[in-house]
Amino acid sequence: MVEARKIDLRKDNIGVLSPLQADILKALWKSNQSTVRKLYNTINSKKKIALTSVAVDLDRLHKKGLVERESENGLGGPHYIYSFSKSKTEFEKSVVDSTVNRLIEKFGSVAVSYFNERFSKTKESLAPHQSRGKR
Amino acid sequence: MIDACATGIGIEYAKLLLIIISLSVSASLIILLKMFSLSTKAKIVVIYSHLSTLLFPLVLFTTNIGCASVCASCYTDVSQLISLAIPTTFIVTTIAGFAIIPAVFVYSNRKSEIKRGKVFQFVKKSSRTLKIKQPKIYTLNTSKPVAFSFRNFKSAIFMSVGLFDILKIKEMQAVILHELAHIKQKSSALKLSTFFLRIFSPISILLRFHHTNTEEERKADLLAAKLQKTDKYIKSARNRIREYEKDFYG
Repeated sequence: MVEARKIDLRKDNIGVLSPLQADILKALWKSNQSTVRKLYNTINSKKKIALTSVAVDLDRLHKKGLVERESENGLGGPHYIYSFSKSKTEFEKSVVDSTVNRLIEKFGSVAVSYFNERFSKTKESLAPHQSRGKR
Repeated sequence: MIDACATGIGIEYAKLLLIIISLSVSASLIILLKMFSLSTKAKIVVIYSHLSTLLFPLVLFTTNIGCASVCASCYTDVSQLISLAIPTTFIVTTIAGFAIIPAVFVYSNRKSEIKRGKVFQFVKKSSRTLKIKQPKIYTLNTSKPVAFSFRNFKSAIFMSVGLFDILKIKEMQAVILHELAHIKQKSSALKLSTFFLRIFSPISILLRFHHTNTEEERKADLLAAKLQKTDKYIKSARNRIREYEKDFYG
């Protein structure tokens, strides 16, 4: 029987993001780089959140390696400038990659034969389109 | 000759008694600190006396070995041994406690110094108001909101980048005033001493000694509120830091 814990993706520290972490990443992908306060203002205009929650989740994303930060000294004191370390496509690819790896790691040959079956079906369904395209 | 003396190294009753007395005094001082409400200065003196008496057996032992290795009379004469060990303990504790360890502490915590800007000007102005020597300001490269001050030969304030990220200007100023108040009231030296105590004193751990510095924190908050003419900012700064910790530890 498949146990839920066997396919827990949280162990990989990737793929599972809290709704706020996802919002932060989306905002960063749009703005390229930002500060805690600017990100807070962007997200808070859509839904009510606390500034400290943004700061904590940015730190968690930094620990996961999804965002980078650099300290910048301004006249009002130092601040972190955050930027994404993975683009949206790279991030999605890494989520798929870690999901597939975990499934293979946990279910071995069953997962591999399933993927073979699944991919050949996809190939077959794509084949008529491709041959039409060639002609 | 050295060999002949060195083979004689052993614990005699008089020396053993000295070690027991020293450790007992050390434990008594911690109990004194735990049970009585002392002034900041007295607390620092008691903490360093506790650490000195804790260190004394080690100094006594090494002095004993030193005397034996050169076949000096202090090896057999306990009073001479004590007259050497006591000042050595005092010198070692003073140098380590007030110079070496604080210097290492400052160096290891230092990230970058703030030498200009609004924060620097505010510290300069407030130090003048409080009639204290302007401390150096260092930032720590961590997102956790932390601030602490240090008073030794040179005073310093340490503030994390994370603190600047979550506090508004007035709240930040309240935190700076709070730290300057610690320097003025000499309580930053007490905080550092209790920090040493936690690291170097197994007796304080065995006796479950825990000094919270609550009174010192309250006094620093009061001074910050007095200078800002309101306690609104120091309270909101504390709330925001608490909120961060709540979010952080889930």
